[in-house]
Amino acid sequence: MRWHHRLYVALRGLFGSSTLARELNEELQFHFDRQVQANIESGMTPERARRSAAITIGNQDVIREALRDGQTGAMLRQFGRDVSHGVRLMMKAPGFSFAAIAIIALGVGAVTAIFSVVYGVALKPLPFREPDRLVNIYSASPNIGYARMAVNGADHRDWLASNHVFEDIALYRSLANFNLTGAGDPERLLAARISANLLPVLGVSPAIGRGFTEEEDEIGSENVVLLSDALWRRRFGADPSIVGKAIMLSGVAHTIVGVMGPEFQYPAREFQAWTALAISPGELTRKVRGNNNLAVARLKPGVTIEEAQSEMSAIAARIMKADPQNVLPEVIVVPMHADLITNVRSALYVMLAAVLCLLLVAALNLATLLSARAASRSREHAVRLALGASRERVALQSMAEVTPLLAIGGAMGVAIAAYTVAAFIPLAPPTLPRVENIRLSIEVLLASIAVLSVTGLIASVLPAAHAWNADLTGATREETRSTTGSVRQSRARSALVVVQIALALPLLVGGLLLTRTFAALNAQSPGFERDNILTGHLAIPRSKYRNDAAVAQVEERILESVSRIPGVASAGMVNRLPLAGGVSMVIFEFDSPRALDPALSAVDMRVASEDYFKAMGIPVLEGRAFDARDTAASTPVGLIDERIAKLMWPGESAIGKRFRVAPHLMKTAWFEIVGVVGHIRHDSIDADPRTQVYWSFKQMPMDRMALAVRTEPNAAALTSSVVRAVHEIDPEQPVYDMRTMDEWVDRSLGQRWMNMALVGTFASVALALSAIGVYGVIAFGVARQRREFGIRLALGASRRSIAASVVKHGLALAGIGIGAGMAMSIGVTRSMSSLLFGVNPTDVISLTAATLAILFVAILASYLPARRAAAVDPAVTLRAE
Amino acid sequence: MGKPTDLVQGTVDLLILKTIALEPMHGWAIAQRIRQLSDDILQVQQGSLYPALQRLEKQGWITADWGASENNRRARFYRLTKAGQKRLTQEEAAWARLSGGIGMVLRNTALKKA
Repeated sequence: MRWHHRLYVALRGLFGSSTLARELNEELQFHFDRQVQANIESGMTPERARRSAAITIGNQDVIREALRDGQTGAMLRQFGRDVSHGVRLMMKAPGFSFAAIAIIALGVGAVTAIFSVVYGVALKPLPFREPDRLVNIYSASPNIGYARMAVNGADHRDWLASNHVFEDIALYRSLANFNLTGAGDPERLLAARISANLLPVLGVSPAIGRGFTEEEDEIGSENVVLLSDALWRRRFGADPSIVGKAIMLSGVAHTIVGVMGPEFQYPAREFQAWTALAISPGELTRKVRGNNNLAVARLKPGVTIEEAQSEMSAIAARIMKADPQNVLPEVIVVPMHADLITNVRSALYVMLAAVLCLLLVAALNLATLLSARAASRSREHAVRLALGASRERVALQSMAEVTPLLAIGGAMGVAIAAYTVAAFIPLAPPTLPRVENIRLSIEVLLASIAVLSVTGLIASVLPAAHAWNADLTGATREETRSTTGSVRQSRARSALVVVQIALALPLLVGGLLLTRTFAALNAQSPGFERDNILTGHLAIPRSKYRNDAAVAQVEERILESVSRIPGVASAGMVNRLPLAGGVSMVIFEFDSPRALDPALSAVDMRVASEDYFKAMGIPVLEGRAFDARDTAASTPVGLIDERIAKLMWPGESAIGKRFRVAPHLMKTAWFEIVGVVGHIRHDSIDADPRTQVYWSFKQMPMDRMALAVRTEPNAAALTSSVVRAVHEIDPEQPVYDMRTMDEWVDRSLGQRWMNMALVGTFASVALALSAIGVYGVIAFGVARQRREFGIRLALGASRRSIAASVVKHGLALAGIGIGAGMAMSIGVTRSMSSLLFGVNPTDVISLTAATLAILFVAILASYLPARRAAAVDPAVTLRAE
Repeated sequence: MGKPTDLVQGTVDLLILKTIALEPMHGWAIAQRIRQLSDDILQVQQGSLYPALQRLEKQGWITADWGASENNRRARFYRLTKAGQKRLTQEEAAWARLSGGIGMVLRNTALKKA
């Protein structure tokens, strides 16, 4: 009841102030007139009545004043007047205001942009019911290099039967490519196969229709599909009665049972459809070993991750005892959200730290600027204090005067952030998850308002503190001709600049370390020649090409067709393209007296065509690549990379030796080694966990293959020709994810590039701001010391020595800043070691270069004022007194 | 609730609340009524009347509307709110206790003297 009344009174006080003043006048006037009337009624003449009333009532102006001050919002109105005074100040010094606004906009813009990324990716809760209870479960065998592996269907069944910590455990397979045919162009769909209980585990349900039923998990009734909102709108015109209709996926009719809502983007935003997961009976009975499913579970209420982990470890140990051949003896339980961002978390937090560091530099820089202005008004402040203004009042006024700068700078900063974020999203590195959540949300805007307030507080309270502590007698007496100025004030400004430099140094060192990291990665050869290769992916439908021979044949015909394109030098195929994201590994047994180190026992299993090595520029070091001699009927042959050759058969030729799949996994023939090829980095340029073994695509055909086409310069120009060449063989065959090898390499380095670009930019800006800070302090000092310089020159000092003393001052500031920053740098860079490659966190080159950069900038920034100091004409300055 | 009020200010507040408890009144009439009822002993000056009214309004104990005065002019009429009525009761009780206390002190001192 009361609060809204108060609010009303306050609002009226704030906004209705002119009405209020009028009403006040009217009320007081009425009182006066009524008194006059009463006096007349008691028998006075009108004139006496007025005089008497005036005497009894007293000075109405005093009352009016008292009432105005008593109104709610009076203080705010005063603040408003100070703000408009600030606006006038701002207009009066456009250069100063421009600089201040630019600094604020820069700081706020950078922080807002980075925070919107950090919030969207790392902080925003996942769009599922009670997402904190969701976990991912992996099988693992850390000592042979399988840190986090997919899950076997039989293991899943055992977990379900014996655990007490999960409400339910669902499975999905994220790699299910379908060729969508029918109305429109053939299209490759990225789909996931999901178990019927996945949607309930996540706590979501379809927008239209239903999810899958338990029966649809069984082989034979699994031809059902859920569409994504995007696919439903794009391809089916958002048809509301689509449920029950059938679509052709890789030549098989699937019934649409439902459409998911637009926020459902699982396991990632590229997924456009979900089909039922039907696990083969062989996998369930452990006859076929394969770890192909990802597991996601919901913890029972109150169960912690540690409890779940210890129970699952116990279950895994029991499974291992019953089935000693199991390659993956351990189980790992990870919170879903942490798991999702595990690869980018440290990079995100380094970015956030870097940008906050930049913001602090900007705020201090602004404080330096404002404090220089406050210095020139210190007498005004002192006089006002001496005349009785309260210190709070003067400090509040300083804050109010900064408010218009903050408001404009903040608004511009948010605009910059909005623009930057919009520009960033399409350029986001492909490894960055949850990009769809990156936007200027309410939470982000609140954070930037907080940031703005802190900036304003730092920038206005520091200069205002001068007024607070002003020594009245000193300041009022201090005259402009004083030679040294207020020592305390200039010391305070110097301290601000020193802190800016101390903060800029770790940023610079960080930026240099990331730049050197990027350079080292670019110099690192991936093992193939990245230029002039066009790649694309094919998923040959087994429904159309029913056996291995048919698959191999259509692949060979596609290769021939592509090779005929003018401008194509050679064309090859492989089941997994390097740096393109897919992994496929197997444990092999080599016919050698040596045992392979368990950490290296997982080997990349590759199926390649004859010309693949020529197309990729992977050297054949010994023996031969695959050729026409290798057919389905001939001796099974294989290639190994140089590393395996060295490990297994050191000092002798590997040609003619044999290998096969570890017999406890699968029974295969022995493959004869006919060649040794160069080793490549498959996962990423900065990690090299595995060696490679190649099979011939005719002897071990696979339906998921990637084309690698070596072309004349400008590989991308042949994209449509390659698609046409494939469609000549099969017009219904989509070619997807077409990129040049250069692009794959760049994509794999995208996160690194972003780290370097962002921290590098922040560091450059911080360096520039510190330079401005140094310049400001030195130039201000020189302006105040003109008279001193004049005297020194008149007494015989050389102009050189005057200039040198000024530059020395600048260097001293930089030196102290570097000293303080160095300790910080070493602490800070150690925490970013996970982002570095080929360079030490305490890299001497980076530390030295950063130090030199700051010294250089400090010299530059003090050189201009130094020249001005040296150019002082003693005759003029001394006479000016 | 509220800040401690000194005796004089608190007294003016109480007088105003009591005066307008009967019917809404404008400022001049409040001062006039207080004067009449106290046989010209208590005179509330304009300089303390209007700040007091403003204070009471801010507290939410009284509220004001424009209306026509007895001489047909526009005037601001103050009246008690519900909260004001409660406050008045409290203040009256407090005053009774206070004046009773002071009275007792005075009487007892007088007795001892005698």
